[in-house]
Amino acid sequence: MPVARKKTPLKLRTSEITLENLPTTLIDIIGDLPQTAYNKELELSISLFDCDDDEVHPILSTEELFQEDHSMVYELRLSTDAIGGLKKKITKWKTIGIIPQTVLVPPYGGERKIKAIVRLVDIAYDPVIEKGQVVENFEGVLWTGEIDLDPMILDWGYVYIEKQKRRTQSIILKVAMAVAMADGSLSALERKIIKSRVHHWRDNAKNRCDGMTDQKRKTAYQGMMRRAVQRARAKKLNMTALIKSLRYMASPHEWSDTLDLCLEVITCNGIADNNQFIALNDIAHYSALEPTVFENIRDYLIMHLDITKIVESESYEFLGLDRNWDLVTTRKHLRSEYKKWNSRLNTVPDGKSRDNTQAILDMIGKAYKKYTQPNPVKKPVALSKKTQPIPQPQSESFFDQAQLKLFNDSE
Amino acid sequence: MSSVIGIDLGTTYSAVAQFDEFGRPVMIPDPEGKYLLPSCVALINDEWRVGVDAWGQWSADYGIEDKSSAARFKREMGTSKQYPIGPHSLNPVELSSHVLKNLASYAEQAVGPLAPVVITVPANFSNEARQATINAAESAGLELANIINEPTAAAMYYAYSGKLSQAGIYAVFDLGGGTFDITIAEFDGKSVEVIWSDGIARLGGVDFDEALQTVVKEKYEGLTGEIVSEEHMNHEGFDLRRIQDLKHSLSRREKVSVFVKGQVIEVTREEFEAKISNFVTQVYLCCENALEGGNVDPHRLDGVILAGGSTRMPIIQQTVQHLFGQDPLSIANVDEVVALGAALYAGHRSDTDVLTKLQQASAAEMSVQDVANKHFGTRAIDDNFGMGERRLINSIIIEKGTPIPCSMTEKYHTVAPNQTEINCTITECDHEEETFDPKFVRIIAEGSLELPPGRPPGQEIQVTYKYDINQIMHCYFEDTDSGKKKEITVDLMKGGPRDD
Ligand SMILES: Nc1ncnc2c1ncn2[C@@H]1O[C@H](COP(=O)(O)OP(=O)(O)OP(=O)(O)O)[C@@H](O)[C@H]1O
Ligand SMILES: [Mg+2]
Repeated sequence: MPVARKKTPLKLRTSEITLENLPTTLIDIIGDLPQTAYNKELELSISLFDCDDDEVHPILSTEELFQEDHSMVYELRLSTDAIGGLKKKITKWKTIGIIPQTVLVPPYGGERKIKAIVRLVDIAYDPVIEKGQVVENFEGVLWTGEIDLDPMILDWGYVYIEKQKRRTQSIILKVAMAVAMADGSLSALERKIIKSRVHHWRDNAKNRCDGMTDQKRKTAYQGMMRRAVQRARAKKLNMTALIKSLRYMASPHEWSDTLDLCLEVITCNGIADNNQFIALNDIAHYSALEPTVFENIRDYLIMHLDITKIVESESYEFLGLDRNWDLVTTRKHLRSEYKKWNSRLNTVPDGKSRDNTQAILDMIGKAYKKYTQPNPVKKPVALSKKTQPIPQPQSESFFDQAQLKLFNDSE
Repeated sequence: MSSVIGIDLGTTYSAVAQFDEFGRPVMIPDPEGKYLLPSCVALINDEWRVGVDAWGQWSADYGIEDKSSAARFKREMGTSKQYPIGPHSLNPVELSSHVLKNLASYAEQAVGPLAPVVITVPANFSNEARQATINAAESAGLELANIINEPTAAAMYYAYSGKLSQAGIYAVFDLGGGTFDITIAEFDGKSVEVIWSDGIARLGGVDFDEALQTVVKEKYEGLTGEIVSEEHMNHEGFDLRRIQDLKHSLSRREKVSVFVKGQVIEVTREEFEAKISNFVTQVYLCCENALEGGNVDPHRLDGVILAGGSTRMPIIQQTVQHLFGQDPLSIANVDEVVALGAALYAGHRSDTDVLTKLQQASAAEMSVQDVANKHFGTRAIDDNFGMGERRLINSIIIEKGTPIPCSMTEKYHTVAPNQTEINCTITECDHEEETFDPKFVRIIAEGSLELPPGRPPGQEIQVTYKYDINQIMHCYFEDTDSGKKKEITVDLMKGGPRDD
């Protein structure tokens, strides 16, 4: 009778190496494959968990290559081909996982206890893994093993980051609320837009994995919305203060989120209020984004507002003019705005966009005549608020001289 | 031998001229001996009419719901606007085609069978509008040799006429019934080289007519306390045909009077000019931008030449004076220069074997070089040196104002590992747009270039645009490493990929 070799169950071990200058953890395997795995197309899946507290949280990854299909949760999927095949009996330690430590994001900062779950998977019954847990096709998991890791992770932790993010979002929300209230009231439509943005944030947080249960998350975002509405109703939203505090918290992406939401709120009813322009101006100013951003904002507004409803006193901000500019700069700015919109007239789609473009050209024409009038006595009221006697331009281009002459002659 | 003609398809008036046997451009009169045909179409007693009768019908239709006429449709070329005429509904292409048919038929009666024609369009006409013009010619049954920009045609006529005292840089200031164009060109003998061109799509005599109509209406209302509603605007006093006459008188006189329902309304030139000041300012802005774009010092211009009927207005002449520091030259009939230039261009573009000896001599003397009137580029990714968010940009390859023919090359690189395909897009825009926003940047042709697999990102791709004399642009996307190449050909006269 032939002797049967004693089966040795699969075993895992880890080691630390430096790969391309980065600290990296290797996971190796040894032992016999379970019989169920014979003659099947196999894959390996590695998920990571933080098990330092009573709660177990998945580890996230900053690199798409090491993420589950629909979230940022860490998963390393490898076909057995990719590691040179798996024999039925693995008699020498074989590396099945290479984990660059710098891509890992734990729930909390500091030293954490981290576990790797390794699964041997039959792709004919491809199990669905979400946030490190098998949620469908359980029968596809042929073997599961776990091992502790001791990676060096330098990160704030995503639970902490998510908390910060929610704090920033709560301010963005208030900014949007303040923008919506700039014309005196919060309309149903404005409220709806803001609310749906909050839902969007909530869903994103869920997909990103924020260490919260669905219920907890829901409560958190509901509270955020409720507090903002309360403050808005009590007229306790100070725009400038809000925007200033964003300056210390918001990433470029969050600034763009802020602008995006504010633009949606402002344009939802087709008309804008001067205070709303000023608020946008502030945002552009404090966000310290490039000046072209504000130009993009205006472009967007011009395409989406009912331009004909913009009253003349509001055209100043709207055209991107600065009250501190001298005549030459003002004229130069208006000329380039004219050039831009006149050229775009050929490409903008028919209908509202085109009518708006036409209207903005008229507006620029009017402003060019009005704001560049050199005689201080006749200057428009709007100008006299901040600016003292308009400085006479020192160097004038030919155009400016010609223009001045035109105005003088016409007097 | 067939006759070589050029057509000025205007907003308010159209005209046709011939490149005659002696190689001269001459106007062709209609059967009544008139050179200008009102660009109006009407259905009168079930018969399609174009010209003076239709113009009369149009002014009678003003403010009325059920119209049997249409005018000023040139401004809507390339849009989806529909004009109800009686039981019919016509688009601008069909209406323009009526006008073209009419012009062609009286031209044919006068000069015999026609060779392929040249039709003029405003310099800043959009691609859609150009395409619509081509379609209108086709549906009028005309064979089209080419289209040419109106100010360029005017420039050719001025160059031909020999009336410019010296070679040099001139501005062609073209303000007609519907559009304004400003072109800066270098003249030397009978050759014209365009330096820069700019314009305003919707600004012209018809706007001035409406402004004057408003002045008359407001004065009438002020005088009588009566409010004139829209449907009463076709009353003879407000009739746009009469208003236009009034406007013409105001070019000669300081003050005019008009009868409205028994009331005498007096309008001064000053009042009229105040009403149109915003338009004038816009002309100003546009010219300043053109001078800046063409990098031309207005005081060093050798002259300003005119085209278009609205340049007869004193305020416009003053504007020219202020802008350029010199009076415009009045050396030709501003209503005819565009059609005459178009006829010259038609001769210039004709095959020599269809021309008489004298025509050949005249055509050979002329030369004309235009500039790219758009920025042409490609859609690319700006990955900010691998940092920050990637965004789509519009990378310009041939800049607006580049003399044509020309050829330009830019270098790009692939962004993904194992990138096996490149999306080759050819974009066009009027303003130097940096970001790719489909509202402002148009893709006029597209294709894809396949790349060898298995290469890291950063592979060099060379993109070359060659813009040739026939308004065809050949675009090559070439992978430097493998030599693989994609060619896309764009017909710029039609503004789209070439079908063949
Ligand atoms: N003496 C004048 N004073 C003021 N306006 C005039 C005078 N003579 C002609 N016009 C105006 O010029 C315009 C017609 O000019 P023209 O024939 O050059 O334009 P068009 O070719 O119809 O238009 P476009 O070239 O813009 O499509 C009309 O609006 C007409 O009222
Ligand atoms: Mg014309």
